[in-house]
Amino acid sequence: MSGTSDPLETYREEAGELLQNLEETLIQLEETPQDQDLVNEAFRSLHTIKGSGNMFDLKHIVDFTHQVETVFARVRDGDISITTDIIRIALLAKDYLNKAIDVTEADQELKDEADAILDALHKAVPDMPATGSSQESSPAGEPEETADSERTYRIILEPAPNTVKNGLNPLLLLQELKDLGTHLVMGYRDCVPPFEEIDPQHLYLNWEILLTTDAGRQAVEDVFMFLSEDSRLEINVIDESTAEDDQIDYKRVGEILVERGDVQRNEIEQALNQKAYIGEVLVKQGYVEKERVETALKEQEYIRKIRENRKQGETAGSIRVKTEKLNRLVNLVGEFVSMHSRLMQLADKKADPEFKSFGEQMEGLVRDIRDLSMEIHMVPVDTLFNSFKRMVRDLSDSLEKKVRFQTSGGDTELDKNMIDRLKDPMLHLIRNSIDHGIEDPQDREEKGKDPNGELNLSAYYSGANVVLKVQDDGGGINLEGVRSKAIKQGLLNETDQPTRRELLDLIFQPGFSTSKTATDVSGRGVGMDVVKRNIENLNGVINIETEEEKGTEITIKMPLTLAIVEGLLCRLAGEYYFVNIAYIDECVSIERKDRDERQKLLPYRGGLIPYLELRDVFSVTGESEEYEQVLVCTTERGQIGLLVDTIVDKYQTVIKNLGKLYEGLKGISGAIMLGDGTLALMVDVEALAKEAIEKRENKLGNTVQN
Amino acid sequence: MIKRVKPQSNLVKDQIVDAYEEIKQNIDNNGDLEIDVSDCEIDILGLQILLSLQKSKEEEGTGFTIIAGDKEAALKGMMDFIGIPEFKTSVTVSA
Repeated sequence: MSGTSDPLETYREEAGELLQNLEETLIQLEETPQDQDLVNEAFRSLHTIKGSGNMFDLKHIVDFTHQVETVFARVRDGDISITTDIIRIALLAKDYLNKAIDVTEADQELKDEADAILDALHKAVPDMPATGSSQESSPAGEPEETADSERTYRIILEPAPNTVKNGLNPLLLLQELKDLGTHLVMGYRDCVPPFEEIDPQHLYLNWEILLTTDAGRQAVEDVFMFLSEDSRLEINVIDESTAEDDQIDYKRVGEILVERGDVQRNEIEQALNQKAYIGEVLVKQGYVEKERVETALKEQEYIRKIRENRKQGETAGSIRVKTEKLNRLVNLVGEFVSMHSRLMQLADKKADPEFKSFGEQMEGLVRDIRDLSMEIHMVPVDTLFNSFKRMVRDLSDSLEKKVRFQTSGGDTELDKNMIDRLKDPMLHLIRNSIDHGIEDPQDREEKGKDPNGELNLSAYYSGANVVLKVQDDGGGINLEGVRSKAIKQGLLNETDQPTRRELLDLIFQPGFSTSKTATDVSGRGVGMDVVKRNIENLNGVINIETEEEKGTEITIKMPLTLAIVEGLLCRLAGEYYFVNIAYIDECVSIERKDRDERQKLLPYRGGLIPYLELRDVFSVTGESEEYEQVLVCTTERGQIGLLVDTIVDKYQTVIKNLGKLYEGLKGISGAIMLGDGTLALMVDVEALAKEAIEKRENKLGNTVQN
Repeated sequence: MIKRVKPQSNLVKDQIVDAYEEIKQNIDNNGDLEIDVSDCEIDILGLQILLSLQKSKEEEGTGFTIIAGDKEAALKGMMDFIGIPEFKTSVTVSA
């Protein structure tokens, strides 16, 4: 079932996913060319694209994919080996297919591109067959596999007696089969002779294995590649997901026994004449061993279960939904949550217990809807990380650098919109790392480093945020170079003594670059300011750490979602302010006389933390309360207390932009609307903390110098 | 009278012939048998030996007990892995 009504559109979406998967597989295969699983994976992706393309009569896809697929079939068969050339051309083929799936017929430009790729392929792979039938690589008698073609195979395995003696361990064969999918292994011991007759070195046990997999027949056959020819091996499809027959019931026991060759059809007919269970009769008559009947019953039960699960999957499985629809849903839920918060505030104000109780009852429902809509909008960051693999490979190749690219924490989930909007900034950071961070292999060796540079992308949860890191082990940033460049560009005076942090922040200034040469990749000073702005537009924070000759680490801290923000609604005199809960560690009450107004320090958990009076920051007039509330916040720059008069309540809301006119407002990053229509301003905690902490550091620095 | 046999050789491919001969020389026909494999390594050929002993004793109509000790879980695990039902109730896998 698909939310997209046009089947061709569905094919394109699925083919797009398969091509992305193909790209990742090819890049891995380049590193481990012997990995047979990866070869099979590449073959399967291409085979499915071809098979489904055939259904829509996309000849330009089918013919082209067939040629590329043939290469992987030959690798799989041990005819040829993977080379860097094959990977390079296969990646070009993937790029071509990405474009070709969008059209029903190739124009001249696409045709030329396809011809060039196939020419290269023919040069790279000896004895490639000319363009022709696209059906050759399908196993005879079986339909083309599609992405959904899950089949159950009945595998009858009677290894030759000398199997173990010849060094083949049947347990490993069974393990390989089990790895392919759902399985039921049924061993027969009826062939094991009594002790006096046994040859202890012979293998007598044999098996029937039921295997449900979408891996394809070839993958199943490959498991038995080294089985000697005098063994008995039968592989038959006994059930498949594309079967038109949607019955749960499976064959009768008698049919199974005949199919497997355990009994003759006439023996079944004789047994049926007796009014007893057929299995019992067959055993009683000596036509079949009891364990054969038992395994036939197990096969019945297994297939029934597989069919039941499939049926459940068809009704309760997954559906494709357009991202725009999902975005709309999430936005509407955001508004809904916001409305509920306003409703609760109104209920409080009106002091109507019935109204309030109704609002409270709604709260659980609203929370569930919010969580569910957020959950369906979250995707693993792997989708983002994997999209960089190709770029890292191509870029390091073109710059003649060796880069070991590793990712971790790929299963960490983030809002899909956020992932989409993080792609460009992260792409820029990765390019910078490869172009300016990681040195040439020769330079690295001269420095005593591994000629292979390391580039790591990682992600992890940190409270209500996700932290993404781009780390390289390159040359790091030369802070003296940053200083000189800043002086040249007029961003610093010769006499200025900027802190390390201030120097690093200069990197985010528009037009700032320390690179001696601008390449077509990076180094023109266009970018880091845009990267920072893009991250901040997503309510994220970016930070750089570097150590010369050791490398650079860029940390991006993002909220889990953009749609709804949870925070504390606070009051300063008659004005409302909203502070994102992701920053808040604790709220403490403090008597005005207890704080150090000169040093702007607060006693907190046995130590002192700097604080900011939001009344001062936002020029709120009038006397504050005797007891004030401190929101203890952790920011990128450290811990800071924010002083407010009162904390009104916890609040969930959708943040509204202030518009261009108020864009540069100090310490404010947005607004929310309250129940009675009044506005509350969202406090930009990071910006305020940065300013306050730096001011304090400078002051301390000056004091020390004086 | 129950005959107890404790093979010194492991019931694995490289020692399977020795183990077989050892058992063969020590068992009595037409008598109950206890085989102690608690100190033995067992592979698929070793398991076959136990299955064949079980078959012989079943045919004779005499008792058969495997003393598996610490090896009980491994033995049951292997039987489960290769899809062989456990030894029948008349045959005890005793720790």
